[in-house]
Amino acid sequence: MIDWLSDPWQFEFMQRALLAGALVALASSIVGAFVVIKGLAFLTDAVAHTSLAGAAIAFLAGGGSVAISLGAAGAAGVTAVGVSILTRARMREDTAIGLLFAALFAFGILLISRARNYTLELSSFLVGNILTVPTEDIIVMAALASVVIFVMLVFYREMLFVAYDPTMAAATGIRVGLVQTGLMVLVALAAVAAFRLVGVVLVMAMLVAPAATATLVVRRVPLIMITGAFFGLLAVCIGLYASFHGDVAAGPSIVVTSVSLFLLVFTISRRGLIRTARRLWSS
Amino acid sequence: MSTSSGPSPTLFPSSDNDPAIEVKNLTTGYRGKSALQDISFSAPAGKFLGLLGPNGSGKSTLIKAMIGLLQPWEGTVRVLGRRPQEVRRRIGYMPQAEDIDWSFPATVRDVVAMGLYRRAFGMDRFRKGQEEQDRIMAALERLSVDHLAESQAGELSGGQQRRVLFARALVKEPDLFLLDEPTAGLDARSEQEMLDLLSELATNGASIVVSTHDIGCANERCDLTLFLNRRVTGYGPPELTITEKMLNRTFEGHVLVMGSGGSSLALAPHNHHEHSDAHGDHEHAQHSHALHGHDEHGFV
Repeated sequence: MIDWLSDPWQFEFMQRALLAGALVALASSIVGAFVVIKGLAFLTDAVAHTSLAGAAIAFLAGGGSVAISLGAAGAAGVTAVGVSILTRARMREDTAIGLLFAALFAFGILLISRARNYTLELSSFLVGNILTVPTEDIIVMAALASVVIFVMLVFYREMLFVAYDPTMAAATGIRVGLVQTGLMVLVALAAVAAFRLVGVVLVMAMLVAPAATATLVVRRVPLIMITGAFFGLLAVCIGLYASFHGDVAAGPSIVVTSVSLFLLVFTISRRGLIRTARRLWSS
Repeated sequence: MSTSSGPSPTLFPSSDNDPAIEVKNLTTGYRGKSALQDISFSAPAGKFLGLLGPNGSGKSTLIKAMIGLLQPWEGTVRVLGRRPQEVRRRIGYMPQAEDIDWSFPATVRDVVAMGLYRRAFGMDRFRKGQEEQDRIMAALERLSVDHLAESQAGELSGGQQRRVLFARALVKEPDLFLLDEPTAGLDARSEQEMLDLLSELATNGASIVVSTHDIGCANERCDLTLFLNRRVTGYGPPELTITEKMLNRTFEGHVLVMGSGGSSLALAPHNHHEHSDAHGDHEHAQHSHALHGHDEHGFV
């Protein structure tokens, strides 16, 4: 049993995977708390998918890990800003997101289809490469996570105030639009960090599932961030074990674990399935 | 009474004798549609001013213009002798409870702490003063909700949520309160308690602006009432303004402006009837004294 637990970590690629996973879990949970509370999941998903276009451009231009991450971040930023422009032109937000989502995601795949080993590259973009993550990628993730943590620490009061009550925040002199854009940029950065790990398709699970699980147990934003990081890290560990011993793809394995944790907590928590069902039954 | 009546060398001289609020020819609105037209009035400090008018008459819009959330398209807004943006720290604002995302996880203490938000730089951003916590608790105690400090704000009753929002405005100890429907949805006792507190604050020199539908309570409590229906339909002390004619003008005007809808049509005569009964004793004799808002400093 001890061997079963300790074996995986003798391999360097597993150690790297764990480190990368921890960084992503941390950045994702900090941003994820706001994503879950403010209902930004669809926007997050769009940002993640459209980052593919930027990554593809960097990849086709022969760029390395850093260039690919920068490209992804650029495209993610375009989506965030584009949605905000279209919404200000009085388009419904979900329509604006849907349009940009489809257009830029398709454009990304279209670009990658020009690559020589198209399916291989595409799948690494779509489901990530946590087990082969190169050192440069880990450095990029660490940098992204640091930026997210630093900005959130410094501007936490503004973020909280604007998310809670934008009218009053504006009346107090906070530049609400700037803070909201700042939050979107953080979402984009966390999404790019997660993108190299689990791929564009599964980024949303990293940003949403741990924080959603946390909201079932704690009810204050900082606690949701910390608890979310815990659930995220737990999912990374269990997912990596499953991948190592069960010989399955690591990224999806982490995501399945993360969502399973949510379902487990949802079933047994105070606001969860059993209590809700019992209440509905008795009423 | 008003020091700025008559010609003055500068338009808005800044001194302690300034009116707390001075609005001149204000026109503003949202997205190219005007919600207020040519509003002019001024109120001295330490007064309790009630904004009265039907739904959609621009009460909230006027409050938002007074705190600088809406820019004037035309005209000027001065509060405490300055532009609203310059005196935000001295204004306690309470938005309508419906404007707030109550599903957001935050304790009562978190919400009231937002009232003390100030710009801070460097390590100041991370300082959590005991003094701040004391002020928060003191504000909650004045509203009798200190026992709820650690509760989730979203799980409170509507009346308790309004008290919390008011505590958030109060915690700054502002010179001017701008309160948007603070008593809506309160039971009679809570309403009286809140109004008592507002009267006390006004007695101690704070200026209070409250928007309300409740004409009876405005009559009882306010020093000044401003009747609003996109324009000022009347302004002055309640005993002069709350008249049958004024209620007709303000609330029937609303029906004409909306131009449709059986429900609003039914509402106006109902209000009119109810309140003209309540205040029937002084209406006709004082009609001619009910002052029009456009005579800015006209109240006596």
